[in-house]
Amino acid sequence: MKDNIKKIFRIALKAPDRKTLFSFIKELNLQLGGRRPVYLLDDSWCIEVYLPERFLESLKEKDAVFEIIEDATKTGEQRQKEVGRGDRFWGGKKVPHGLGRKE
Amino acid sequence: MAYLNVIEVESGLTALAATYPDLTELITLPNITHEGRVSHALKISIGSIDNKPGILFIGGVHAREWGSCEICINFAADLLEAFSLRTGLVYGGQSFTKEQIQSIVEGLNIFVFPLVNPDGRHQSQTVTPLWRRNKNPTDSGGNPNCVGVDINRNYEFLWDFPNLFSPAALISASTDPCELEMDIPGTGTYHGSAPFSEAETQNVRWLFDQFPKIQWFIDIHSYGELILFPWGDDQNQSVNASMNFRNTRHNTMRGIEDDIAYREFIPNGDMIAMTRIAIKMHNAIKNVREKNYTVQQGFDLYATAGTSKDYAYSRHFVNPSKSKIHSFVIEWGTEFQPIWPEMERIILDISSGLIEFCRALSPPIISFNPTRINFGRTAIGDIRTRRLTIMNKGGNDLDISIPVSSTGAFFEWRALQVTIPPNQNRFLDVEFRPRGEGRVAAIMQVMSNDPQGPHSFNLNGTGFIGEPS
Repeated sequence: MKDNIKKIFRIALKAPDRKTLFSFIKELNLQLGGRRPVYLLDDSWCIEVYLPERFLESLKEKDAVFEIIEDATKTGEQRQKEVGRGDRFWGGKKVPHGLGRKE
Repeated sequence: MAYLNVIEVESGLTALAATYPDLTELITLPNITHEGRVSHALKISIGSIDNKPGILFIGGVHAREWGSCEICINFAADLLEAFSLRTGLVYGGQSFTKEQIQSIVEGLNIFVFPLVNPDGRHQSQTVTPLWRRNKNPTDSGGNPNCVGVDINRNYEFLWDFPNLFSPAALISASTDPCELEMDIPGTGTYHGSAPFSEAETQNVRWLFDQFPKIQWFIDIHSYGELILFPWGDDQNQSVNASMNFRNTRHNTMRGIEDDIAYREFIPNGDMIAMTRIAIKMHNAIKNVREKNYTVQQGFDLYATAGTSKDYAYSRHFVNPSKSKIHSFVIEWGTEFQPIWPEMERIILDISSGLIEFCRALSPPIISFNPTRINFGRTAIGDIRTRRLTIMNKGGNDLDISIPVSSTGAFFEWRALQVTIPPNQNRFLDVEFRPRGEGRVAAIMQVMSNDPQGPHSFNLNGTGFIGEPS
């Protein structure tokens, strides 16, 4: 990754109810992109947030309950290696086949 | 196999058009992206009837949601190959018959625009994996981290959200290009300098305008395992039609959850229709490998402004001369860029949902067995009976009406007025009562809601003088 942020984490931020979670999101000015809060089996609410390493400290200072899911920087770099090189369809001369079974 | 790069999405689409020239048309979109890329969509259709219902699928809107393009290409490739081979399609535990595949391609015009935002995808796949926006630098003030517009906040639906929502609303949209998702470059929900300021949204609008029979629309995103339907600005209500997004009296009220001051009007029939088809998609996705996608209104996720789903559905309210477009968002998976083997499984899930979506919208198709009845030689005074099977091979209910035969005719049958569900059949007994020597023929008129109707069914038989059986 060539941007100026060295390390981004994907975290699960938790709160006892949805309203608290949203007030927390507002207070911390968390930008959610396209994600939603989900209800967990332990009666709490949770949302996934991507944030640079330096924000973890401020979350801790605010007594936020969170869990690190993954190092998103590392995952992103690994996924970039899974992107095709060149052109497997030869400029439109080789047809793609779908993954569904034809029967 | 691996994720498709930007060149491969385009060449894959070109290859499908070249391989299936009788079934496809490669459409060049008129607006070129900031980095100079030309986008294409694929039209899948057969026959010269252009007033068939249209469906538009788009993907690759948010740059980091890579798999949406792969889903679109896979869907198109599967549909075209199965139609050409005259096979069905199987995704895990979900099967579609060859008749269903034939009725989808014969009964619908399907448009696939797999990569709306190629500049952003290239950035995400080669530099910044979490990049979300396009690459338009116009409003960035020279700050490379603030480049780009969130394509799915740039449509003309309550776009000017600071003046159209409650100040207390928590809205997923931004007026500030440098308001990023926790300072991550290329993220954030900046809505652009004006509605449709971006080439990418202009291309989607162009498809709606150019093909006015498009009546169904799905924007494919990730993630969350959701199927969303309108509206996204507030909770739905079907009681007060004047409480709607065009009514300026409500401009400071929108976007608050669980209040009664404002809720967005949606006709009950539309909500039922969209919920029904969303549930059909849910079921087809679940049948693949038990993934349980949640069907819900967009607002239940969070309040939004300027999204494709709401713009598409709002068009006919703003201008009644435009077609009503029932619209959806699918949020596939549980991460933006799953490891490729998992992405392949998600492709199967969502392709199943999209095929089911098409199947449910494909028109009824009438079919007869036998295709004509020849009673052969029958003695005068005798009565010979044959059974006609009428089948519905299409995706929706077939309504048929057959008037009773004329009194005293050679061929007799009872009136039949019935609705035949997809993949089911009904019987009609037809009698031949020859009253003289020689060959006689008649036509049974079958009225139906099959777009190819009405149909004429041929009957013939030959009477002779002989001993009745």
